[in-house]
Amino acid sequence: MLQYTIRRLLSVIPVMFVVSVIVFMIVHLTPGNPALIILGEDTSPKAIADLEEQLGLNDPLYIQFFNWLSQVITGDLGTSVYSERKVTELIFSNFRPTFSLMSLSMILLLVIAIPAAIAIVALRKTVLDPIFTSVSLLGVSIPDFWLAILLVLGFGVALPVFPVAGYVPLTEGMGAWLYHLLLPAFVLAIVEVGIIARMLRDSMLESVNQDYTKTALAKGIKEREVLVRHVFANALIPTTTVLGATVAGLLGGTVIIETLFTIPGIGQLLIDSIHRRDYPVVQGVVLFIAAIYVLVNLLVDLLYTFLDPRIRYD
Amino acid sequence: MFQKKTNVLALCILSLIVLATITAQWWLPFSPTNIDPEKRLTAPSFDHWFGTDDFGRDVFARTVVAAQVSLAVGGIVALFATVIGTTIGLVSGYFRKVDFILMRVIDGFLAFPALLLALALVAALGGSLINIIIALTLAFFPVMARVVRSATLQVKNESYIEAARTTGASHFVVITRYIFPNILSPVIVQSTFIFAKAILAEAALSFLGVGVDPSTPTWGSMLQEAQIYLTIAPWYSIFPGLGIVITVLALNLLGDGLRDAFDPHQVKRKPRTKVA
Amino acid sequence: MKKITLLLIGLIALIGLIGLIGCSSDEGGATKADSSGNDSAEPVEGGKMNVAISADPNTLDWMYTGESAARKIGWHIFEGLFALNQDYEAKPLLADSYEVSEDGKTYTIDLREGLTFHNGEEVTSKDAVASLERWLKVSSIGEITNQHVESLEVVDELQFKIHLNKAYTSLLSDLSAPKHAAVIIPASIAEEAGEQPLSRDELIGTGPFEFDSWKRGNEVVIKKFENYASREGEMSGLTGGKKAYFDSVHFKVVKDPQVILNGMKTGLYDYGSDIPLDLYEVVEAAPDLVAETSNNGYTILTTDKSEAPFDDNKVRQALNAALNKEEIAKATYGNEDFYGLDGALFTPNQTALYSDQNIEGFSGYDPEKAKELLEESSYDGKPIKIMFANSYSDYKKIAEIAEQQLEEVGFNVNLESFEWATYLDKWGKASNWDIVVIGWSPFFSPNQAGMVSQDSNSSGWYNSPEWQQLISDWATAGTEEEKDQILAELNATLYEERPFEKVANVSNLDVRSTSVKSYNSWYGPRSWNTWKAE
Repeated sequence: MLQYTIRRLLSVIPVMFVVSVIVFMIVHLTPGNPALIILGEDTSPKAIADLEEQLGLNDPLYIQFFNWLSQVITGDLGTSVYSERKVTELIFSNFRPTFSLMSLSMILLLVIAIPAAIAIVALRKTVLDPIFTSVSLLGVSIPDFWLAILLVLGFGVALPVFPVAGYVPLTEGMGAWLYHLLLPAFVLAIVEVGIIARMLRDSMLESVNQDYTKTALAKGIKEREVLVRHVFANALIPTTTVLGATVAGLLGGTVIIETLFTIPGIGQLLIDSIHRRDYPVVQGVVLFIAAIYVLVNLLVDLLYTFLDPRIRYD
Repeated sequence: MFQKKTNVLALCILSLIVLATITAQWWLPFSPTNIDPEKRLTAPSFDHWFGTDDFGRDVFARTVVAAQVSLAVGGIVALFATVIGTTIGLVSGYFRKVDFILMRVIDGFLAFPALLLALALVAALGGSLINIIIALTLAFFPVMARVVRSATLQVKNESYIEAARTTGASHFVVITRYIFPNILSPVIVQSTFIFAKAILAEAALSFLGVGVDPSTPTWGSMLQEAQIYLTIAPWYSIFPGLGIVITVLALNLLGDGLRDAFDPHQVKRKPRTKVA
Repeated sequence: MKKITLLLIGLIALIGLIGLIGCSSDEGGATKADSSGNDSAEPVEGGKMNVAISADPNTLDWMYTGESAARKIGWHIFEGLFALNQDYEAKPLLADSYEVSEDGKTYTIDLREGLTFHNGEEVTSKDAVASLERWLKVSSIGEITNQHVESLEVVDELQFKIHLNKAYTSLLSDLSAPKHAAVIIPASIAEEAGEQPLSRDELIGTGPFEFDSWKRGNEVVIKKFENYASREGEMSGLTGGKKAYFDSVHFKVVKDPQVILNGMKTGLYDYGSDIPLDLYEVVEAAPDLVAETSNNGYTILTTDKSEAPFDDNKVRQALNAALNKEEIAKATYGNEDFYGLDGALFTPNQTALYSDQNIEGFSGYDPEKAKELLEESSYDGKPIKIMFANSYSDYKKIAEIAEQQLEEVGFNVNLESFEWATYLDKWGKASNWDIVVIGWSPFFSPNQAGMVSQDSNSSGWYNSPEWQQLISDWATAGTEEEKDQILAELNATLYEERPFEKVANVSNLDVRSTSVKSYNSWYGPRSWNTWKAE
C-alpha cells in the first residue's frame, strides 16, 4: 500500500515535466519574436532588446526552459503584460468564482446523478431504462454552450426565473450567490450527469446479479434497501475512477460557461488573455489548470486503491 | 438486429448531411452570403425556413453550408489523430523500451482538458483553419494512442504473434500484418468518437472567438454571432446548434453501434467523456 | 428500434420546447414610469453607480488619448479651462474669465479662485501653463494649435496669457475638445510625465470624482472628490454647477451587450454604454430601462495611403464604386432612425459646421465602374487586409459586408480582427493593414478631425497640402461666409483625394436604469448631478 502510494506520487513528476514543456512551448510556438508579440509592434528596438534580455530569449531554448522552470517551481509565474499584475495574483483573485462554480456543479452533479442511477436500476425493467440511455447519449452530443443558450432562453428570458449572467461572491450572501450561480452550475453539471449516472447504472446492474445480492433478497430484505445498501455501495467504487475525468470536464467547461455567463473566473481570464495576446497569463492559467487536474487524478487514484485494495497500479 | 438498424440510421443521417452540404450550391434556394438588409432578423417563414440573420442572410443556407467546415475539420482531425495516435500506440505497446518514454509524453498531453489544450495551442498559433486542425489533432491523438497501446498489449501475447516471430517475420511485418488488423475495431470506434468530439471542440473554439476567420460560416461562429440577438431572434441561435446536435448524435450513435457490433459481449464500461 | 424512436421523440420534444421559447419571448409593451429622467424626487447622497462599458481604454490620460472609453471616464476626473456646454459650445470651466486682445493674438485667461487638485494642491496659472505645454505636444489637437501658439506666459497666481503668432479663431474650440483634451493637471506631474501617458499615480485632476483604482480589463473605480469646487449655476454639458452624489462610480468592462441589458434588469448595472442599435426595441420593451441615444459621429473605412495599393487614387476610387453604402448601413444598423447616409465632414445636427456642398462623391456605387477603375489602376491582385477591433460588433459587420462587395469587383480581401488594445497596437504600423474599419465620435472643429490628421496612422498617413491649406485658412476665417466656403472646399477635397470612405452617420445607444434619477442626456455617461433612488 505504502509502496504503491510512493510510486504513484513519484509518477506525477514526469507528467508535470511534460506538462511544463508543453506550456513553455506555447510562447515559443507563436510565429515571430515573442518579445515583439508581448510588447506590440510599435515598440522601440531598445525596449524589445531589453525584454529579450529580461526573458532570456537570446539563450539556447533548453536554457530558457530550465530558467523558466526554476522560476515556476518557486511559484513565480511571471507578470501580466496587459495588467502588469503578477500572474499568480491574477489566478488567485480569479479562482474563487471558478471554485464556487465547480463546487456547486459537483454537488448538483451528485445530487442528480446518484438518485437518477438508483431509480433507473430500480425501474430497470420498465421503459425508463431505454429512455435514460437515449437521453445520456443526447447529453454528450449537445454542445454545453448551446445548452446554456437554450436554458438562458428558457429560464432567463421566457420565464425569467434566473439572472442570465453575472456573479456575486459568497460574502455578499448565500442567496444572491446561489441565485446567480445556479444556472451556470447546472449547465456545467448536466453534461457530466449523463456520464456519471450511466457509469453508476452499469456497475449497479452488474452487481445486481451477484450472489450476495441474491442472498440478501432471498433473506427477505426489501429490494429498495438492498439496492441502496449493497448494490449502490459496491457501484460507488468503480465510479470514483471517472471522477478525475469529471473534474477535467468541469475545468474545461468553466472556460466556456464563465465566458457565457460573465463569471470573472480563471476561464474568463484565460479567454481574455488569449484575445489580448497576454502570453504569461495564458501560460500561467493553463499550467495551473493542468496541475489541478493531475492532482485530482492522483487523489482519485489513491482513494480508489484505498477503497478497493484489490486494484493495483499497472 | 437492433444495433444494425441504429447504425444504418446514423449512417443515413450522416450521408444525408454530407451530401446536402457538398451539393449545397446547386439546390439551396438562397445563397448563404446573399445580404438582404430589408429582411434582417426575420422569423422563420415559408421563404426562409430557419429565418434570417442580422445581415438578412438565410439561416438555413448558412447552416447547411457551415456543415462543410465543421465536417471537414472533424474528419481531418479524426484522420490525423488516428494515424498519429495509432502509430504511437503500436510502437509503444510493441516495443517495451520506448513505451515508458512515450507514455509519459502521452500522460503529459492527457493532463490537460482537451479543449483547454486546443485553446492554448490556437492562442499560440493564431486562429486559422489549418491551425485549428493542428491544435485539435494534438488535443485528441493521445486518447487514441492510449487505446491502441492497451489493445496492442493484449494482442501481443497471443500465440499467433509468437508464432509469426519464430518464423522470422520482422517487427515491421508483425506490427502491420498481425497486430494492426486485430486492433482495427477499437481504432475505428475511437476515431468515430474523435470525429464527434472534434466537431464539438471546433464549435466551442469558434464560439469563443478564437476560431476561423469570422466571415467563414461554421456552426460555432454562427452561434457566436447570434448571441447578442438571442432575445430578439432566438431562431438564429437555435438552428446552427441543432446542426451540431444532429451530426454529433449521429456520430455517437454510429460509434456506439460499431462498438457493440465489434464486441457484442463487452460490458459498456467506458463512458464517452465529453469534450470538456 | 425502440432506442431510435425514443431519440426521435426526444429531439421532437426539444424542438417543440424551442418553439415555445421562441414564441413566448416577445413581451408586451409596458409603459414606463420614468422616461425623462427628470423628476422632483429628493436627491439621495451616497451609494455607488455601476456603469457597464464594452472595453476599457488603453490609458485614462484624457489628454494623451482620443479613445472614447477614456473620455467617458476621463471627464469625471479631469477638467479643462473651457468645456463644451449642452449645445456643444465652448464655455469657461476652470477659467473664470478671458479677454482677447484687439488683434486677436493674445488671450488673457483668469483661473477661478479656490480650485484644488485631487492631491490637495491649489490650482495656479503655473499648473495651467505646464499642462497646456504638455497638451501642445502630446495631443493631436494640441499639435495643430501649436502651429499658432508663440508662447505661454504666467502673469500671476491666477492669470496667464496665450500669445499667438496670428489671430486664431479656433483656440477656444480646441481647448474644449472632448478628446486629447486640454485638461489641467499639476505642473509637477505634467513635467514629470512629459510625452508619456500618465501613470496611475499621476491621474490627478480637478473633477468632481477622483481616480481610485483600475483593474485592467475588469473595472475602473472613481470616488467622490470631497473638496470639489463647483462653478455656479446650472449644469450644462461638461460645465456649469456639478455635484457628485454617488460615493463611487464603477466602470465595469462587460463585452456582451446582452449581458449588460440583463444585468441592468437585475440591478447589477445602472448604466450601460455602446449597446448595439438592434437591441433598441428590447430596451424600449423593458419597463425599467431607458434608451439614451446621442450622435455618435460616423463610421468609416480608412485606407493606408502610404503603401500599395491604396497609395493609388484610382484604387481608392474603385473602392468607392465597389461599396454599396446603403446596403452596408442598413445591414449593420438596421433601424433607419439611427443612421444617416450623408457625405459631409460634419453631421447635419452640427448646424454651424455642416455643409452639404460637394458631397456628390459620397455614394458612387457602380460595380462595373469599380471593375474598370481597378483594371486601369496599379492594383496587382495582392490580398488587402481589412483590420478591425472585434470589441464593437458594427465594425465587424461593416468589414464583413465590405469584404463581400470588394471581392465582387475583383479585390482580393482578408479580414483580421483584434481586441481593442491589440488593435490599437497594430493600427500604428502601416504594414499591418490596408483598410481599417473604425468609428469617429463627433468633433467640433475641422482641425479636430482625427481621420484626416496629417501623416498619422489614424488618417492612414494622409498627406495633403490642400487640406493643410484649408485648415490654416480656417484658423483665420472671420466671417460665416468665409467659414461656409472653407467647409464646402473641405468636402470637395475629401472626394477628390479620398483619404477615407465614409459609411454612415450613426447614433449611439446607451441604456439607463430608471432608478438613476435626474439624469441629463447628452454625449456619454456623466455621473454628477444624478443619484439613485432608494
